[in-house]
Amino acid sequence: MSDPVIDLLTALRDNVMGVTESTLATVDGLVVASDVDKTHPESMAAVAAATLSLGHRLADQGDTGQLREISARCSTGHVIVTAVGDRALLAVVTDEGLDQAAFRREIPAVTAELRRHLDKDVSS
Amino acid sequence: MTEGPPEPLTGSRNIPSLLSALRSQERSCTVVVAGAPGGSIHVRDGLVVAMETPGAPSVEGLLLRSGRVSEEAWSSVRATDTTHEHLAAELVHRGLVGAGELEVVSLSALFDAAFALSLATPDSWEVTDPVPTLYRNAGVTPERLLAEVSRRINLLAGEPGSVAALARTRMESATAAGLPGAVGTLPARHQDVLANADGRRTARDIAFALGRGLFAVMVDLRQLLDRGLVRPRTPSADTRPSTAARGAPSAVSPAAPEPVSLPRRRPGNTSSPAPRPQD
Repeated sequence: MSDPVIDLLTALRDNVMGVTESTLATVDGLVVASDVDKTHPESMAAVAAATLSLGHRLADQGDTGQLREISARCSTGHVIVTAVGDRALLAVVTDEGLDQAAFRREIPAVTAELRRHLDKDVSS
Repeated sequence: MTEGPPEPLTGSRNIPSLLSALRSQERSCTVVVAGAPGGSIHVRDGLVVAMETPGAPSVEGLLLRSGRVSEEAWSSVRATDTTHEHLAAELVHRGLVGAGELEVVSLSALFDAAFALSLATPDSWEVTDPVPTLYRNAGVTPERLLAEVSRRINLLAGEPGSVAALARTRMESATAAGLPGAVGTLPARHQDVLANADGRRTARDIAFALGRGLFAVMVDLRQLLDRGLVRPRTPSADTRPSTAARGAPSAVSPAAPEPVSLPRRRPGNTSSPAPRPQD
């Protein structure tokens, strides 16, 4: 059997067309779990952690409320970083054909579920 | 927008009958389809001119991924036309793509998207005002579109599993174990598909990665499957480390993980400019 967290990342790739890779990391940039092929999860975790914290600052500066996600839209794909609770983050790499509607539908449930799993780490 | 009573549209039971109704009314509109995948169907004067769906590469994707048009050129073309209604004309005007070539790409993207959309059952759809999109063709009748889609499905419908199942399957190369000689003799496009069949990608993912059509990739995958060069992926087990006890076994306050092994700057080892003298 495989780890439920990795199953969640794999399920995200299964359920949302266009998702190719994902990395779950702590907010200080350490890899927790990854479903990757081409990206280097350690580097992705570090950069995503920095990006997320900059995103919080951006939201502050723009006075635009709570940060939901921060995304880099590129010519042949996107990288989207979402907070998973206070301690972790999820960095998702997609191709340019990402099913945005499905992504928006899935991601709140996925992050909530990931958060539940990660919360078990500290409570026990 | 102003023409045509909308009654026939609300009565449409599926997308093909909706398109036929739009055809008879010669409407110009965009049909937004919700589903997995959903998409947009662009209709001009009753003829389908373009479709976009996450299930198949768009004209833009085909042009950029294949290297026909560079990112810089594409950006400057888009900058000239804020409505995005004349992108095709601008691409041809600048000589970035030949008019005939763009028409071929535009039509193939249209048929490919129709094929991709036909593999899923739409949840709902909505007829909206025409949304500008990149296309260059005279438009296709719904009948021709349907005929082409069913031709493609029939071509792919082999024995093991339906076409939709083939589209969902993540293939992995079966050549690592043996058959090394067989790969060298394959055509280049089969080798490209094979190189991208890593057990993580569906046919759609490979199509996006290569900048080729979904149908073309599925035909290649079917042939590779028949020759035993790819096989459906078998899932592997893997575990993750805990997030709790990194350096702090009794992690009661999760908000403040200790910065245990962060790299530190040493004096004299810095790349920042030296402080100015205070004079």
